[in-house]
Amino acid sequence: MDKIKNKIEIFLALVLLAGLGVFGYFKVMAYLDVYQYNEDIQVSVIKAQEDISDLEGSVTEAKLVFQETNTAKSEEVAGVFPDGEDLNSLTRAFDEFAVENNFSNNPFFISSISYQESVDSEDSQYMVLPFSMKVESSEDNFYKFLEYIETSGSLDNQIRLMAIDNVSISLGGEDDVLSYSLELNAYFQK
Amino acid sequence: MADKKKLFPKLAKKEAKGNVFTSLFDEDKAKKDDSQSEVVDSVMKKTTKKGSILGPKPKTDNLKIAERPSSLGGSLFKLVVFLWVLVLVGSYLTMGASFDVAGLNQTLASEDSVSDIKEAQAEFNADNYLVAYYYLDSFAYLADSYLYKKSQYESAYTSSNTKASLEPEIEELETDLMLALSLVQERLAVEIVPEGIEIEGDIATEMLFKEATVEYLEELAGDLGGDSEDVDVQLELAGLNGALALLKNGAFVKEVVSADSDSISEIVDGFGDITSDNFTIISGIKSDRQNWSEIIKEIESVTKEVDPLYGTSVQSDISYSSYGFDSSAKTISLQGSTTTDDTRNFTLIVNLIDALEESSLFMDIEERSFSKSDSSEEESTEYEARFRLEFSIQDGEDSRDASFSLEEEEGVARSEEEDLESGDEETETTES
Repeated sequence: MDKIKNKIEIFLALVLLAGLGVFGYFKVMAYLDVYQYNEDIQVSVIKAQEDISDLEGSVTEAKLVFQETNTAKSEEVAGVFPDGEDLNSLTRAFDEFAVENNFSNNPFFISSISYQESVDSEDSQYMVLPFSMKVESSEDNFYKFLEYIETSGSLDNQIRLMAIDNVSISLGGEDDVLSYSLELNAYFQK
Repeated sequence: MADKKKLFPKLAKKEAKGNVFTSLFDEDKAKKDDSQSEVVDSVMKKTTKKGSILGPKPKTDNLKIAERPSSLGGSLFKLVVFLWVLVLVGSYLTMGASFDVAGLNQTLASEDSVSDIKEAQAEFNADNYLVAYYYLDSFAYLADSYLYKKSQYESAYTSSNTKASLEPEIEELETDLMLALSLVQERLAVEIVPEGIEIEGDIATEMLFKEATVEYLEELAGDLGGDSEDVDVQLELAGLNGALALLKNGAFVKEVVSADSDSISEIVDGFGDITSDNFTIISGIKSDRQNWSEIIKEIESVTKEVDPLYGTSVQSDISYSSYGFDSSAKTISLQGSTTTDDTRNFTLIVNLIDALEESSLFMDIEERSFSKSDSSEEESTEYEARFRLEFSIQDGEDSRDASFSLEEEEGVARSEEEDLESGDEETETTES
C-alpha cells in the first residue's frame, strides 16, 4: 500500500514539478520582460532629461524672438486696429488718398462719407464700424481705391483695417468717370 | 493431496478471503497468525533436526522495531508543494502585490517608471511646442509684411522704382520666413512619444503623452495666473496657450510640417484659426474679406471672350450699366444690354451666361425672361435687349465650370479609348 502511495506521490510530485517548471519559466520571463521594460523607460527618462537640458538654449532664444516680435507687433497693431472708433484718423486717411490720386485726367473725388453706429462682431471679439461712401473716379482710380481697401490692415502699410461690404457702380457715363457707392466696414479693438 | 496430508496433517484448506493480492500480501495478518502457524513450526523442526549452518533465524519481529514505510514520494511531493508556494509568493511579491518588498515589485516599479517618463517627456514636448509656437508667431508676423510687399510688387499701380526697391526686401523676407518655418518644422517633427516606448492601457501611447503634455502646459498656465496684468506674464501666458493650441490641432501641425514657400498664406490663416490675439483677429478679417477687384476683372475678361470688342475703343455689343456686389450674401448683380444688327441679342445674353457659369469664380447664373426691342429710328437696324443677371460667387467645385467639363471630356475620351482597345482585343480573340 505504501509503495503505491509512494508511487502516486512521486507521480504527482513530478507532474507538479513539471507544472512548476512551466509556470516558473513564464513568470520569470514575464518578470524579466517587465524588468527590462522598466530599465528601458529609465533610459528614456534620462534621455528626455538630457534633451530638456539641450533644448534650454533654444527655448530662451525663441522666447527672446517672441518677445521682440510681440513688442513690435503691439505697436504696429494699434495703427491698423485701434482701440476705439477713431473716426477722425480714418476720415483724414481718405482725404490723403484723394489728394494723392486726384488729377484732372485721372480723377478721384469723394462726395460723401457717412459713418454708422459701431456694432459687435458676430463672434464678439472685435468691433465693426459700418460706413458708406460715394465716389466719382476714373476706372484706374477705382481699381486703385479697391486695392487700397483690400490691402488695408497690413502692419507694414499702417492703413486702418477695412473691408468692402457692398459696391454699386453706375457705368456708361460719357466722360469715362465712374460713379459708385461703397458700403464699408472699419474694425477696431473691443 | 494424500502426500500433503502426511506431511502436514493439520493442514486444512481455508476459504480464501479477499482477492488474490490481499491473500498473498496480507503481511500483517501473516505476522499476527505467525505464532499459531503450525506449518512454519513443522518446517522449522525439520530444519533444526538437520542443523543449520547459519544458526537460528533472526526474529526481527521480536525487536519491536516499527517498520518505516518508504517516504521518497511524500518528501518529493512536499518539496514540490513547498517550491510551488515559494514561486507563487515570489510571483505575487514581484508582480502582483500592491506593496513593495525590498524593491522587488516590478509592477509598482513599472508604474513609477511610466509616471517618470510621462513627466519628463511632457516637459520635453512642452518645450518643443513652445519653441515651435514662438517661431510660428514670428513667421506670421514676417508673413504679413511679406504678403503685403509681394502684393505691392505685383500690383499694376506700383511704379517700377518702387518695385525695384521692393525686390531685395521681398527676397530678404522670404529667407527669414523660410528660416523661421524650418525652425518650426524641426520642433514639430519631433515625436511626442519617446522612441521605442509603448505603454499598455486603455488609451493609445501617443494620446497618453499628448494628454500628459496638455496637463503639464495647463498646469504651467494655471500657475502663472490669468488675471495678472504684467506684460511679461501675459506674454508668457500667450506662449503657453499658443503651444497648447498647437498641441491640440494635429491637422494644422501636419500642414505646417509639410509646408513650403507656396503655403505661406495657408499657414498664416491656420495660425489665425488656432490662436486669438489682435494680430490673428486682423489676419482672420483679412483672409475672410472679398477681393472685389479680382471679381470685376474676371467679369470683364469673361465678357471679352463673348464679345471681343468689349473694353476696346470700338463700340461693343455688350455693355453694362451697373454692377452690384454684396459681400455678406456673396452675390453679384449685373445690369446691361446687348445691341445687335441681326436680332441675335438673346443668343448673346445666353452666351454671356454660359461663359460666366464656366468661370470658376461664379455659379447659379440664370435668366428666365428675355425681351428685345428694335431701334425707334426708322433708318437704323439695331436691336437692343436689356438684361439683369444675379448670381453667386462660387464656393468649391461646380460641374458647369470649364475646367470641370474639360476633365469630364478627357474622362469620356479615355473611356472611349479603353472601349475601343477592349473591342480590338475582343476582335483579335474572335479571329484567333
